[in-house]
Amino acid sequence: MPHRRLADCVLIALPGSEDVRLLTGAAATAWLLLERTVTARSLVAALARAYATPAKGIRPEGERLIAALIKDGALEEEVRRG
Amino acid sequence: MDDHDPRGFVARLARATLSPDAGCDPIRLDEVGRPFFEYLAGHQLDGVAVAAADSGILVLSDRQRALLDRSLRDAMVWALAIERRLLSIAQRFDDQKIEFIVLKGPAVAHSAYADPAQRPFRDLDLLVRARDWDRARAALEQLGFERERPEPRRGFELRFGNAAVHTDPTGIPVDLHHRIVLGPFGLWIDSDALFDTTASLHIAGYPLRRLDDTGLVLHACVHAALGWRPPLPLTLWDVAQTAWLPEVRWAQLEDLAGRWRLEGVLQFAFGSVRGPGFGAALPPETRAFDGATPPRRERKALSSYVTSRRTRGGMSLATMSAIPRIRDRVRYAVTLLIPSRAFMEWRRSTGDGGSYVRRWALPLSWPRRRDANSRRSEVTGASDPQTGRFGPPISRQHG
Repeated sequence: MPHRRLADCVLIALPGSEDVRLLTGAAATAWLLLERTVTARSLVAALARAYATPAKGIRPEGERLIAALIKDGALEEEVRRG
Repeated sequence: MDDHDPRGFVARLARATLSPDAGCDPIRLDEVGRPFFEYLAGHQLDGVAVAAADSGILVLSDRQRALLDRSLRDAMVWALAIERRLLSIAQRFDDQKIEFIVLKGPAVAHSAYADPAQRPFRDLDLLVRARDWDRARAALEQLGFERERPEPRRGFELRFGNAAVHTDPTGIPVDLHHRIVLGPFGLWIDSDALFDTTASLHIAGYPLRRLDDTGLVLHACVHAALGWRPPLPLTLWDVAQTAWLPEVRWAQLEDLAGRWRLEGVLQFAFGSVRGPGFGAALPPETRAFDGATPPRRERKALSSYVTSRRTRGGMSLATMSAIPRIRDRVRYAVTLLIPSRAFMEWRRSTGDGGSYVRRWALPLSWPRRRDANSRRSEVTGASDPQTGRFGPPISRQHG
């Protein structure tokens, strides 16, 4: 979806809506990581590395962020089994 | 330079960022506040200013940086809303097999600038073939767009005009073109031929078409020279950015300029970019246009855009002389003199003059003005009476 990376934030134009979502801080970092990261686990691991913090501590926040982006339509969820 | 003068600042910024060998000291902005940054935002230069600040060319206080970041953020929110609308239009046009080219804003932002965030835009310009124009307008209406301005007479836009602005309920304007510019040059340029030289443009993964690098330079020059008098800084920035694109075919550009009578236009645009009011460096290939001496008819047409003739009906006169058939010239003149009531009501509603008498007063004043003009020559951006060359006079000092 259309987006812009600015100095302190990322803007994304949500599909099927008139809204443009402003992501700052860890959310902006996560969005940029998502350009090449495809699993929730690897996103949390990359965020942990970026913020030099244990993955376990930020996993709930990372999962909430992903859930919010999926709800907005900014991300598509793909469930893989096996 | 007076740092409080935004125009002087823009010229200095252009020289520092678009002329890599300029070797300027970092630009510091002491004691400038909100109005200065409002000027930058008004001219959509906040993106290039942020880029200059990020690269250390421009040194800002924290407060100045915050003002600039905020205005760029606002500009990008609008640009993204436009891009999202572009994708829905593209889907509709593709479904209905309507060929189109994305012009200006998004096309230039994603192709000629290091980061699309450097190039804000406020509307969407799409070029369709003349034969598809009515279908494209209908497709826009299906998407909730309404045409802003009624035609002066039915069929006038397609025959003599270049575009019509359509706006959706959220206020996003789409300028639907079948020619890339209004007036004589619009009639001389073969718009269909532009579809033969396009390049791919991907926005959010969606495949679109833009003019190729050569076409981008040509259109940037046309827009800079003919779009506004004097040329707006953003349009000059576009000329500089597109001229440095790696795949510009300069021989083809010269050929197109010759065929479409644009030599004077390109000369004027390149001269304006290099001139003291802007002062950016351009590739040496642009010098090929310095020596061009466009024919009188072409020079006269250009002067109708870049001199005070523009506001005195000069473009209408120049358009009339570019219309090939006498019958069409008469039709054009009659429509300008006696447009439809709906058109006049729209003009009145915009406060832009809706009186037939006022409309007729302009051509009636021409003989008097012509007499006065014969005693004084045009200065701003006019042709050099000795050489017939166009461009801001002082730009030749740098040539």
